[in-house]
Amino acid sequence: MGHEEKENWSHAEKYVMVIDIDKCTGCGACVVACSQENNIPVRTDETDKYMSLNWLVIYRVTNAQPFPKTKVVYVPRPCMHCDDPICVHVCPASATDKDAKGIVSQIYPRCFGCRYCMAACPYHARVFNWYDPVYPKGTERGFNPDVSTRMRGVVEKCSFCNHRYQHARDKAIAEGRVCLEDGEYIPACAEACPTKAIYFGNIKDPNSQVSRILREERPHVFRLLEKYGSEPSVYYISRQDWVRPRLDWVLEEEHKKYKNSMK
Amino acid sequence: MLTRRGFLQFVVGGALGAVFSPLPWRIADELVLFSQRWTPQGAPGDESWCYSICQLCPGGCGLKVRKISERVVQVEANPLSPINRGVCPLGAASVQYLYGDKRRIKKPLKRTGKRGEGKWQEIEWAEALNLLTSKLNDLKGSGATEGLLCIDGSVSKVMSGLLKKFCYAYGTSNYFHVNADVGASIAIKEMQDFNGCVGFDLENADYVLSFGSQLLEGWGAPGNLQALYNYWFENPLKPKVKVVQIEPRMSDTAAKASEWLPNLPGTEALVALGLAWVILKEGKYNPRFTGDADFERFKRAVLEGFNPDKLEEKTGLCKDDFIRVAREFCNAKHPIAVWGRGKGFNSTGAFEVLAIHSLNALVGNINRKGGTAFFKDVVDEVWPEISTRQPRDLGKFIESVGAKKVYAEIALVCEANPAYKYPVSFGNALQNVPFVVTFTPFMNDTALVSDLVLPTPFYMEKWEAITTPRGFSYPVFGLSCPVCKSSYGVKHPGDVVLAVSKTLGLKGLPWDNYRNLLQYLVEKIWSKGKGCLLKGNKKVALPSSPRQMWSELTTCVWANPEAVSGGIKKFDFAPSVFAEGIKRPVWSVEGKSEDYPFTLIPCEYLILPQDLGAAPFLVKQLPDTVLKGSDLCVEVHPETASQCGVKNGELALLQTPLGQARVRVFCNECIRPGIIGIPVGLGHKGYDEYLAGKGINAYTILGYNEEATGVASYVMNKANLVKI
Repeated sequence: MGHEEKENWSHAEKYVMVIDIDKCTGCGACVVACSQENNIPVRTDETDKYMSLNWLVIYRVTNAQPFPKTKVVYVPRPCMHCDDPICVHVCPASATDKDAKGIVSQIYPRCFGCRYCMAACPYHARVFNWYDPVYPKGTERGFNPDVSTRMRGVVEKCSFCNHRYQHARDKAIAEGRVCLEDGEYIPACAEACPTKAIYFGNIKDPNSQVSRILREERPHVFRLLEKYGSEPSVYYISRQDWVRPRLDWVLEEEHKKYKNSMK
Repeated sequence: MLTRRGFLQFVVGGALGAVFSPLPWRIADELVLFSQRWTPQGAPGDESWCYSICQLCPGGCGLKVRKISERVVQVEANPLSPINRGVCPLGAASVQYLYGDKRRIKKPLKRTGKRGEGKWQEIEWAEALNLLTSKLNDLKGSGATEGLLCIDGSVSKVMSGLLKKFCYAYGTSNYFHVNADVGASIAIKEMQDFNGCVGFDLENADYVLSFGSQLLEGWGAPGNLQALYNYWFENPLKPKVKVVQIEPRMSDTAAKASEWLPNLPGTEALVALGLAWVILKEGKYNPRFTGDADFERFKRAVLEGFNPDKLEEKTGLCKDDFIRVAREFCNAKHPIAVWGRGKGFNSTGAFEVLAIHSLNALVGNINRKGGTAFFKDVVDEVWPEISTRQPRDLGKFIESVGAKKVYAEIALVCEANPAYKYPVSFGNALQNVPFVVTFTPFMNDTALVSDLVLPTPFYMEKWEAITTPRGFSYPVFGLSCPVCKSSYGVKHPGDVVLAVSKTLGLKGLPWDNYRNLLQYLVEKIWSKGKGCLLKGNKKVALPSSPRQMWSELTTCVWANPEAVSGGIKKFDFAPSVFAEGIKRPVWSVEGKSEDYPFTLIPCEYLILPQDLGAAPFLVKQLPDTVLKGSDLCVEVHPETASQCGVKNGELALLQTPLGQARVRVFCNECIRPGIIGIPVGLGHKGYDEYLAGKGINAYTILGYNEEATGVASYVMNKANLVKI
């Protein structure tokens, strides 16, 4: 494939994730599938959640009302793959970058563990390998060869299962196609989700599922902490008005301005 | 003699020699490797995909397994499966279960030390089979065949059926399935004179009244319920169904339901009868099952004793809710009332099921679209002699073994973990059982106290047939083929049972191995010619030969959606259990209210399987409000905590009439004041360092009996929380 064609390809692609909070049941299948896909280590005691290493976390968010008016939603939080990623700006080692298709990468051997990116990320999407990775004995046999395991002292995060993109693209090239079809590349979490609350696809393709959903659900779509201007690529949908202000931790008097829709 | 010249020659020569030898390079190389802290990486290989059916619970999710060379690396949903659209966290953790070296048993183990001491001798399969066969033969020779106790936990009804047949042929009636809902089967037997599969057609229902069934957290077929949730709430602003969750604590299901009605624990039967009162009072019942003498008896009793006015205080729900929900229920097109508390693995009381099911009868929604479905499973039809037997209460039985009221010589435990579920009574019973043999892939709590442990294959390593997933509304049959070769010395429990019965000369088990039995079943289904193959949503006619059917069934499933049309033989609103039940309190209560002012209820989580221990990834996902370090956290309302003088995150002593435990307190607005929620599924002794010794086993302090039937049920207990 020529240089020009490659360019065209990247102009036609930007991958985004849409998570329908009202459909998420908080079951945790996405987290386990992600862990299995990306060879994530498990220590024997992971109850200190500040030290626990996950690429995808499900937050349980309540409306802070007393019993029995309490309501709960579950909010899966992968890396937001921001269009203006703060983590990339602060990295002194160029270990993380935004690529043409919208994915914020992380190059482990280049990272020297300063953790500026972790401090900068407003979503806490980045995690640090405080220890040598450990796996339950024998489960190394279940390693996914497409994803390298990470050493102690580096930062890691969700890659939108970039290796799955590479597989899909290789297949497309072998078949002589220029574009990927909708649904040909989706990350492990979206694949596993038993209620299909996670949509994934190319937002530059107006006919893709994500484009359609974002159009249809426009009044209920928002992104986390939009006020920081990092332009996340992960969109959330909730038709309940209390959800977005709770997720963004807005002040009481700001509530009125804050509705469940993007500016 | 060393001279100066000689010394210099030696040093310089040695240095030169070392430089030109590979040694410095080798050392430098080693240093690089050492300082780089290389981590293990997955070996590359050719990718392939196989189909399988998950057997970690009775949900029967179809899976597509990704393999690299011979290694299994990931599981995804089988797009042809009509059951699931994705996977649940348990299914997603399959690879960790498969390769968990510390949990898996590598060879047959014979106990050498004292029971439970953990001293084992690895033996060959031939020796293990000899030992088992001779024990069974001796018992058979002595004539006391009832001394064989079989505790089954198999997910496959075919395997369970084989064990039942084995017990039948051997001459013992002491067969138990750990997950049998004894209370429900008593109620259904009494009401409908029916013994078989009970299903709920939730797909077509438009009003679901759930009495504490955690529909999204492991009740029924979890993968199917999650897919249904997507179907129901495809457009959350215009849902296809209204789900009303009646439960004291806001579980994930209650959080996602259309409405949550927090009742007081153990009052589900009263709530159901209160709703029935409104329906009867307003005369809105369907005439389909009403009009008989038993209905009149039921009507009189309910109108007399279950006026919602009087139930307000008892159930904690207000009268308006009773009236509104009852009206919505009988005005809906396809209303359904669902029983089975939590995941439904613990027996619901017979009286409670009776009260709930009478709501279904009042709206006439039995064996109809969107209602409860009663039918015979494939195995029941092929082996009618075993399906007529009513399931019995294992808890009560092992209590009587412990009290030496019943004699048991050999306990055969197949892929079950009674030592976890009945921690006290099973321990007592073991003292009176001389020989315990356990078939299990994992070193679980029961294997630890057994005399002979026989390793069985994990579901990805064996042939198995999966019939009707739990709670499914029509019969289903699918085959799961081995995805990979086992790296452990395992044998299929079905093969073992067939081999043993051949040696013992038992009749009625003519198959050479388990695969032959499955072939026999496939031929039976094919020759009956009923039903169709389900490929996703598409119905396909049966193939032209049983052979072809066999190969088709490894990727999709056979189903007979028409099996459940038509009426039922009889319906009795007020059988003896009802008459007994309304006279007494629902649950028998121990301990004084002054000593134990609170009520303890179990909290079940999808990521915390009970008999099967949670995989490391699942333990990792547990919030720190369930497990902190090795401390179990109990859920209480902040008001309750301040009443006890404990703060969020503090340690406290949880006391019940059955015992006490040290726990951490987690304050939460999502639970009724006065209630303590204890997570179930932790506190294992077996498995590996990721699970063993974490938290406490809730079954040690939970436990209640139903008054009317005496069925053991782990629904609640009285409790107190004391500051340490």
